[in-house]
Amino acid sequence: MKLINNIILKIDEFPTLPTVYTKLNEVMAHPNVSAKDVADVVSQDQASAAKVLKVANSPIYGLIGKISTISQAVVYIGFNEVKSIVLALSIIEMFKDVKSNSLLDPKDFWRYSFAVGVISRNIANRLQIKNLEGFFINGILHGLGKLLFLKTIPDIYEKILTVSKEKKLPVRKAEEKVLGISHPLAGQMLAEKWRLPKEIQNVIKNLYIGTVNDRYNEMVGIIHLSTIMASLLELGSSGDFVVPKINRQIWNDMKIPEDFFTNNYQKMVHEYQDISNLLSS
Amino acid sequence: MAYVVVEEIKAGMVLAETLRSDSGQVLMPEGLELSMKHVPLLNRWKIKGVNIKSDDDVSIDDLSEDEQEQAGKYLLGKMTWKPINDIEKDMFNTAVMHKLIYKGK
Repeated sequence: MKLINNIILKIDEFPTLPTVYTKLNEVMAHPNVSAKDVADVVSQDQASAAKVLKVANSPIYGLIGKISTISQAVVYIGFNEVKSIVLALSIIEMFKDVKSNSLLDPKDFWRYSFAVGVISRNIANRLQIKNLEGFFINGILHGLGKLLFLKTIPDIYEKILTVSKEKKLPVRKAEEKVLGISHPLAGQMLAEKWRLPKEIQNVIKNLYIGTVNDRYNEMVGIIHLSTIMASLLELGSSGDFVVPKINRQIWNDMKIPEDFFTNNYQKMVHEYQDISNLLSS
Repeated sequence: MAYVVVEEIKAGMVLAETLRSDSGQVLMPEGLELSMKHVPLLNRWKIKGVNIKSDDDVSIDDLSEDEQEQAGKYLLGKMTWKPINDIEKDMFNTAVMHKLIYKGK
């Protein structure tokens, strides 16, 4: 197949992540890294530092208005979470030039992605998972492969979305037919090229499967369920016209109270609207 | 119903949800009128915000069966699966409620 080779080439040639992210990785590799070290790197770019603070003060972290410096953000929400926010902001920036087509507006795709992040963090919180780092941002970035296709092969991708809609076929199946590769794998390849953490590569690749090598994985399972809930609620648009299937294997391990969504969805919608307004501008 | 963070709670607001501890014990019942003395309790329980009743509240019971059925049918038309257990039904019902409350918004 020619198209699949073309995609692999485009991933290869895709721009690298901005230096602020690579610098953060370097700084955080030191065993004695301090909050100030991280703050120094992030603060080199005033515009992105201001945005990191806005995100850290959004309702999702429950610290509204309490964080006024990057050092405080590191202390309150964690080293990795601050790094993840920088990563998400960098990726949003990289895909800013993606154009709307007749079936999907990238702004709606981001809104859907924010919804997935918000729902994931809320579920993880309810399940009393000790380390909540990553649920929000990995939720936001799970659809990297679709963004890659929208940016690099816009015309072909519009056709793929059309086929998917007309035949009521999940988008990833239509991608496989036309391209020979689907967005979870292509997205994971880009994440690998960027040397993103294994955890997020797992999420991107196994999103529809819901497990990793047939085993329950907290992060993948929760984000899997959150994509389905975001599609059901029609928050933003995933580009898929079919609500994906739940891998029911997750229910053996994921003990969500049976009235969780009824009781929490207004809170989640509130957080979703807040973060969408913040990051869509 | 509106979500209000604890810092913005005002006396007289009415809880739109039952607050429970992680073990399921009722901390505060739905319908409780909040006063400022409740705020330190919420902080102690590490609750960051609560759902409060508001005048324009719509509950699933206020919506006509017709409306619910239509929204349900529409959603099932997009799904390749049917909710089978309590949590899946909760997801589905929440989506139906959301569809009706937020329609046109």
